[in-house]
Formats: sequence, C-alpha cells, structure tokens
Amino acid sequence: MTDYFLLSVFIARNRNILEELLQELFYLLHLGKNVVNMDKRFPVRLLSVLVLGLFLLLSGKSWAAEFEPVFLYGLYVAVLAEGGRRAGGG
Amino acid sequence: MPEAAEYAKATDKQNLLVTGKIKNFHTLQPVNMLYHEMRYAALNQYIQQNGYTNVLDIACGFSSRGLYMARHGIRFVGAEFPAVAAYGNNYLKKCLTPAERKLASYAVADATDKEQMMAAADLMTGPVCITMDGLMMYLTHEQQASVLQNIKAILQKHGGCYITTDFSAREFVMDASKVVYGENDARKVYRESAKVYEDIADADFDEKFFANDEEATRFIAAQGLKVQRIPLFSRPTKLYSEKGLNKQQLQRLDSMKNAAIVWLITCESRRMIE
Repeated sequence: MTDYFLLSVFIARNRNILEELLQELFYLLHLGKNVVNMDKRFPVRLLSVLVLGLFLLLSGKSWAAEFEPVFLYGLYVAVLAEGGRRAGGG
Repeated sequence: MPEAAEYAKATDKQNLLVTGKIKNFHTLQPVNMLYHEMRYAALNQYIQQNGYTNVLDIACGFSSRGLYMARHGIRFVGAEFPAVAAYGNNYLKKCLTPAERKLASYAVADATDKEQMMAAADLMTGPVCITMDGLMMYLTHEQQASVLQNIKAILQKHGGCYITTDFSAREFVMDASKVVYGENDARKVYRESAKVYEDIADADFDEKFFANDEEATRFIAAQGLKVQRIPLFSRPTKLYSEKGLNKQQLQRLDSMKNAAIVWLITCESRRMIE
C-alpha cells in the first residue's frame, strides 16, 4: 500500500507534467525520433500501450488504496439508505 | 492508514470506488487525506495517552477505529443504526482474531436516543471515552443538543470524557488546505471538499455549523458540559499522509499538529478517569 500511496501522491502533485511527458514520449515514438534509439522493428504501439496501461493501472490502484474515507463513507451512506436512513439520522 | 485499507478490503466492495467522479479530485485529495488521518489519529492518541480502556464511538460508520482499539487492548463499541451495525460487525469479524473480536463490536444506537445510547455505553464498565468523527455537521442544533444531553447522561453515570473535532471541522479542513497549498483558496478547498460529502449524503454542512468557536462553546456549556480545547497531538506524531509533502509543507504541518483543534468535553460532576 505504501508504494501505491507514494506513487499516487507523486502523480497527484505532478499529473500535468506526467501527462505532458507521456504525450511527448508518444509523439517522439510515433515520429521515429532517436529518443530511445529505436528502429523500424521496435514495437512502438506495443510500448505505448504498455506505458499507458502501466500508468493507468498503477495510478488507478493507488487511488483505490488510499481513498478509503470517501469509499467507506459512500458505502456507509448506501447501507444507511438500505435501512431507510440518511447520514446524521432521518 | 493500514487498518482503513484493511477495513475497506473486508467490505469486498472496493469496485464501487470511482474517484474519477469527484470534481477536482487531485486538488482535494491531499487535503482530505491529511484531515481524515489527523482527526482519526488525534483521538486515538488521546485515548491511549490518557489510559482509557473503553471507547464509545458515536455514529462511527465504517471507521477502522474498532480494529485499532481492539488491537491495542481497548474495548470499543461503535454506536450505529441497525443496518450499519450489522454490516460493521461482519467486517470486524473478518478482520479481527477471536480474542480481538471480544473487544470490538457495534451496538444499535441512534445518537439522539437516550435509552439506546445508554445501553451501548452500559456494554462497558468504568470510565468511557466517547469519540465522534463527523456527525454534528449533519444535525440541526436541536438534534445536537439532544446528542449532548445523551453524552452528558453517559458521562454522569460512567465517568470519562467526550472528544471530537466536529465543532472545528470547517477550520480544520481549511488549515489542512493551508498546509498543502498555503494561504490561498483554503475556503474554496473546504467548500469543494464538503460538497463531495454533502452530495453523497444530501446534506448542507454550513447550515449546521455554529458561526464561530465561541458560539459553539456557549451552546455546549448551555447543555451543562465543560469545554476545553487541546492540541491535536501532544507528542511528535508521524502521519501516513505526510509522505510526499515538501519541506515547507511539513513545517506548516508541524505547526498545525500543535493547534488546539480537539474539543475535550467533560461533565463536571464526574471524574474523567479513575
């Protein structure tokens, strides 16, 4: 959990920069520039999908792991509603 | 908070969490993490430092405090509505060992119902530390008075104290925002954070808060209770949510940890703890 936690804090604080970097990386990869010394056999699309997938996977999991308060609160309100109640009574 | 993650996992419903629906999630997230962890950890620290062996957590919802207390040898009763109590007892069963399970349980009790509240407190013997994390902002002032009267009755019978940060919740979130983002936009961050919860529960917090601390203090005193403000933490405390903060943010956090945000409320006619 700690790793996800740190990663998610990092992503939260640097999301714009990360997104720009990813866009730049994809742009360079697709143009065939020498950023990773690739040649035509280099699986550009596969790499792009892997990088993006890894990013989404890790960031998604980290959000889930660290945002228990909202999750548990949402579940709490749902359970209250099942019992015909609202948060704070009523 | 490891036990919160553990509790969330025990629900088997983590797939319900869709943070993408929360507007400005990335702005609100670090502030709310700090706020939630600080109010949770501050009350836990007070309980342990003052030697309480009984905790009555009013409207505890699916807080992981029961896990924490049971694992530290402290009797915990979470007062909740029937549906929540049923689910909560099941989650506790999943997380705790048989020995720990004897220490933590939910009891069916509406905070405004005197008999139910007293029955929940009577599950424990000796002074009780009554905790509350996020209830008062949902209640009208009339309902708040009723809850305070029930707390007073429990303190008169059992002894102990009532601790909460609910009466400072708005300022608490704004202070947490100042830790992360500096002086700017603290009120805006508070409002948007509050809106996340208000939207889920169809509530209006600002309608329920007192205008200022003095007004809240007078209101509590009018119920025959004594109010004292104490620091969040009285000893150096490391938080999970401070990881990733920079030096300047950590300095502001250190100063916030000493702020008198916890409301320690007692009944003068009884001792706090034996």
